[in-house]
Formats: sequence, C-alpha cells, structure tokens
Amino acid sequence: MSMHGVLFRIYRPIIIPFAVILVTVDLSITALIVGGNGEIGFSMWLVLAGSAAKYWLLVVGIMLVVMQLRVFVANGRTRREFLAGAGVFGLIASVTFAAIVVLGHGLEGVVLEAVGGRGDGYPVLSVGGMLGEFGQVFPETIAYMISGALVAAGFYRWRPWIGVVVMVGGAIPALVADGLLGIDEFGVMVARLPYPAALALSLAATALAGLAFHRVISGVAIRRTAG
Amino acid sequence: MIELRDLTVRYGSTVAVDGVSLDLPTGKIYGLLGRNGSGKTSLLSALASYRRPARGSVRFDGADAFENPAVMRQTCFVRDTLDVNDSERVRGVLAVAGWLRPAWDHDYAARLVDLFELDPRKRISALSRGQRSALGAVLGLASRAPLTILDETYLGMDAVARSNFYRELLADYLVHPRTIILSTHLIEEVADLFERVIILDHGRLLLHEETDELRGRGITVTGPAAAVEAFAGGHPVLGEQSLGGVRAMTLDWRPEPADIARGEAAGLTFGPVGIQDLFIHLTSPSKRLEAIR
Repeated sequence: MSMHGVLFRIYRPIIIPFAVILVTVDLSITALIVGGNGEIGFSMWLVLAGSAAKYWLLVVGIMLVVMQLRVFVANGRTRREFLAGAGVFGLIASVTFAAIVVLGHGLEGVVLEAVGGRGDGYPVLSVGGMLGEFGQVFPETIAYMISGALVAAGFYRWRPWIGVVVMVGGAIPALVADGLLGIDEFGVMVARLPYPAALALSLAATALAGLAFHRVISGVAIRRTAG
Repeated sequence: MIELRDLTVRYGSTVAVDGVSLDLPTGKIYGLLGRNGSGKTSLLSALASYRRPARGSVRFDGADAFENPAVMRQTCFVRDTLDVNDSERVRGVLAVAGWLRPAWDHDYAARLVDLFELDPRKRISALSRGQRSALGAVLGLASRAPLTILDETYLGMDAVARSNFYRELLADYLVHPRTIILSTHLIEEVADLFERVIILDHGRLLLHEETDELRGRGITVTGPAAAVEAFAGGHPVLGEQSLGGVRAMTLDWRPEPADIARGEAAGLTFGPVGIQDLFIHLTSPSKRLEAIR
C-alpha cells in the first residue's frame, strides 16, 4: 500500500466523526439563527468549516511528526519516503478540505435561499466565485499544515528552547496566509493586497517552510516520544 | 554480511558507542549483552537507522544502511518502549504493520496474539508492561524481517510468556532463518538461543565470539585451596570464592585434557562457566583489564 494510502487509512476514523460533528454543529447553529431571526446575513459554514479546515490540518501536521513518523520508520520506511507520502497526503487533504469549504458554502447558500433564510448581507457564491474562494482557502489550509509540521519538527528534533525559536519561523506560513488571503464570514478578503501578490507571498512562505521541514526531518533521530 | 566500522554514537558530549567495528554474518541469532548504559540500545539504533552515527558506518552487503529503502525494508527494530501510539488499539497497530511490512504474516501474527493472550480491541495505553512486550514480540516475529532486532523484548513478561516467546522465536527462526539480535539482561535464560555473543562495555566492544567458544573459554575449578592455586598457575582469574579450606576459582583459560586429568588426580573438580558468570566477570570494573586479552 502507498504511504499516503496508509496515512488516509490511519486518519479515516478521525476524519469521518470530525466531519459529522462539524456538519451537525453548523446545521444546528444556522437553524437556531434562522429560526430566531428569520434569516442569516453571513455564511456560518465559512466561519466554522473555514476555521476547522485550517486548524484541523495544523493539528494533522503536528501529529504527522509526533505520532506517525516513528511508526513508519519502525515499520521499515525511510524518513524521505515518509516525507514524500506525507506530502502527497497533505496535498490531497488540503485540496479536499478547501473544496469542501467552498462547496459547502455554495450548498449552504442554495439551501438558505430554498428555505427563505438568506439575508441581505449573505455572500452568495457564483461558480466563478467558487474558484476564487478555493484559491484563497487552499493556500491557507496547506500553509497551516506545513506550519504545524515545522513547529512539531523543531520540538521533536531539538531541545525545547530551540523548538521555540523554530516555532516562530514555523508560524510564518500560517500567519502570512491568514493575513494576506484570509476571508471573513462575508467571503471578503481581509487584506487589501492584490490577489496574485498575496498568493505568491503565501506560497513562497509555505514552500520555504516546507523545505525547512524537509531538512529538519530527513536525518532526524527517531525518538521515544510519549503517546 | 552486516559490517559496522568505527561506529560512534554521541549524545552531545556523551559518547554512547565508541568506535565499534564488527562483522556480523547473516542468518544467526546474536546475543547483545552489556551493563546498563553500556551503549547497547544506541548501537542498535544506529544499526536500524534510527539514528545517524556521529562517525563510522553501518553497511549491509556493502550498501550503506542509513536511509536506504532496501535495507530499511529488511530491518525490524523493536524497542523496549515500542514505537506505537498509546491511543491506538492492538489490532490497529498490527494492521499498520501489515500495510507497511512486505513480509508480514497475518496468520502468524493472529496466532501469536492468541498465544500471548492479547486482546486486539485493547488500546495500547491499557496494556500492562508485559503485554506491551508481548505485542513487541508479535511485531518482531510476524514481520519476518531479514534483520530482526529485539531490544529487551521481555520486560514485564511473566515466566510463561517469556518461555512462549523464546520457543516461538526459535521455532520461527528454524522455519524462516534470518538474522536476529537479542539485547537482554536475562542472560542465562536466553543464552541457549545465542549462536554468537557480543558484549559491550562503556560503549566499546569487549567481546564478540561464538557462544560455544565462549562457554569453553572459562572453567570453574573447585577443591583444596592449595591445589586450586597450584592448578591455576599464572592463568587469568575471573573470580574466586573460598569456604573454609575449599576454594572455587573461575579461570579464563581452556585447559587441555591432560591438564584436567592432572587436576582430577589432585582432587579437583571442574565445571563449565555460564555465559552470565563470564559476563559478570568480564564487565566487573576490577576484572575488566584482565578480561581484555
């Protein structure tokens, strides 16, 4: 079985309940707001799923280092093989989560219109808008994942005080992506930088952190870590 | 052939393994012995590519081992702490091994799980120390890796479980020959399995010999004190005990049959020296100098 295939099988029991909880919470809160006010003027899905996708992938990035690395090496895989497999896994997971955020937003708008609960300020999403929103969410999800992985790698490889220094660098991709590409509950980019420049800067920060992560992990000693 | 050349492992300023060179022919069971802190686990970590050596090399059939996919596939290193996650269930751990290990034997793993009475539904965090070790034994044996390294894979196991483990290890080794390295402190209990013994002391290689050679290397002479002393002559003494006029002396010397006959005529009796006794003598601080010959 491929490395990313094994990772998906490992994470499947976590992803499914997480998705169920997310959808349930979103539907419940949205129903409460629409039931109380008669309509909702923003995208609850963007607030919940948009944040959940980023933070969940941040945690996955941490878990890949802290929990999965030694398991894969203990089962006869090299660190480089693990990095390649984790890279494919991370890319697919980031694309999927970003797509779910965007598609969920589109679906939410359709359902709200059908039940008459879509308020004036609600960010209605066109097909073209979906692509644009994906172009904002995807770089964020992958940036958060790389940030989580690099922060964890620093603490895994070095002493805590060096880990803290690495953590500062590791946080950069997430901060840059959030600052330059982040969208609010109305689907509007918070930063005023032109999208191509924001995207280029975000991807560059993520790529640099990815390279740093590769260097930190490619020869690291496999430690006995708790849990 | 597994070749270690000038292998050095450091942790900061601490030298755990100091310039060890070893040739390990494959297809044998090795016993790796050493006192606490002698560098056994560090040596094994370098051997299994868990840690890059500070100096020196590990080569398998001429190929450098570190981060070599072909070598890593053939290596299974089971540490005493187990490289699994506490939140996993036993069946999950075995499933991952099955997905990643090319020679994993599902049926054998299931049989071992039954033998060690492990509950596949239990989480690792709920396993006792002995059950964790039993899981390590399952992972090590069912992986059928050409190089299987078991680092103190007996901790917490009761006598029945240990006996089952040794029996299974030997039985599976006979059917599926491979290189097995056992690191242990229960020397006498496992010594019969060893084909070769490696002893580390303070990070340095103290001894690497065929077990039979090692067993025959020493002899215990017992009898009247004067006769024992006369028999010992100038041979290295590994240890001695006295009770009244009777003295027992362990000698690092292999006497000829004529010597034995001469001793018996003088009222001496002879006995073999166990691997553990030799190990204790060889690694005792006061004996180390005379042991390194």
